Amino acid sequence: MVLAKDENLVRAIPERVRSGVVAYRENFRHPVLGVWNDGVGRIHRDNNITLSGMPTMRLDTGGQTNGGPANPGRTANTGGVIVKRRLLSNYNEIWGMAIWFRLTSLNLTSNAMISMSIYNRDGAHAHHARVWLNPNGNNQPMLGQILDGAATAAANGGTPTLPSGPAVYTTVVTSDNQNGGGSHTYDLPTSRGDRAGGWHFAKLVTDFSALKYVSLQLDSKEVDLSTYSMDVTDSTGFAGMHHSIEFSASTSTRRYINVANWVGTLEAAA
Amino acid sequence: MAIKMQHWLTTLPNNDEQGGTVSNPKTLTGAQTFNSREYGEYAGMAKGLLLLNITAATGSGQTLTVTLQGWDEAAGIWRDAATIAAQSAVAVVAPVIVDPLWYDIYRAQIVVAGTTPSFTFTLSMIGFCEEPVPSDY
Repeated sequence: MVLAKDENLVRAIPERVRSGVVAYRENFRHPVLGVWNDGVGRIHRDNNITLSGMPTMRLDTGGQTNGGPANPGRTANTGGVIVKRRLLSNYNEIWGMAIWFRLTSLNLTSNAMISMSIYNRDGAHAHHARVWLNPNGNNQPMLGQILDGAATAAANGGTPTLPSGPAVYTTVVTSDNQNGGGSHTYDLPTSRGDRAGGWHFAKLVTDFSALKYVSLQLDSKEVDLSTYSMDVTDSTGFAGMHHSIEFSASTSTRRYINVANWVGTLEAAA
Repeated sequence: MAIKMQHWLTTLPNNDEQGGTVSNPKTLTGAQTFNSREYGEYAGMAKGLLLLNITAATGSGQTLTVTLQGWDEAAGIWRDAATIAAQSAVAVVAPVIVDPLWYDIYRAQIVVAGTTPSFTFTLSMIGFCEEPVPSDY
């Protein structure tokens, strides 16, 4: 059955996106993924785990390790999956990025890091907004922790824009729900076959004109982040905006998460 | 109409493919078993065409054998899905059809054997599926 175009569009947009115009969506319906893994491990279109009648995208470390960092860092950890969509925006717009995600396999409540980012470069610097979606232990409430630009710069003293310097993450929201990583998993070699799982939702909004965060929604909680600055690091890399999801682990145990209905929203021209 | 895509199969598991410097064409020198990274690119594809093009081959009694392996998720093991018979010289090797592509995840296992063997080659696979993709799939 082929649905009418408008009907297909409506069902593809997650109802928890509360603001903005949908600029792009990755619902993984197409057999070839339009996003790219710019790290190691792998991604694939997953028909074992679906949401709203659509395939999802699985992110798998493939046993690769991230070196055991304390947090997701100032720049993306290349020892894991970095799946991204690149767009061009001239530091004059407010952008959002929303995903549904579930902790699919075992071993995700420790030694694993999940984050999502919106960042841009101007030829000399990179400006990162990143939220660490921290499971925070076995069946604990998930934490939303942002890469805190001002605190990170302060922690780096005389070299505030050094990319390899330590990052400071600040907890800005705590979900009321358990993270779901300790139960309802899908991990066939260990007799876990729960395809339904427990789906989280996250939406990050950033203002590239002010170089500030705007807001973060984690599950049903939304918080104002307008007092927080993006992190600034030296970078001569590709001057373009990136929307990305990062997933890595500090041990070689294979583990994986699933992402559904990835949506980019244009909130406003700043 | 059809949907097709092609990717090389010679990236190492710890290689970042950005930058175009790591894998295509590939040179393997010395007897070895090379296991590529895991390719999820074919999860949405129904059939495959495995392509091997050897542009240099040296050594004594050298052979290069390619096996396409699929990931058996329930057992957590790799299973052989298709093989290109052992090659010993420069050749545009006849394509091997892999129909269907049952697995979501594939890797290439490339075995180089002989005395001081060296091969330079491109190994890739074209994936194929029918269009249109149902909207409710």
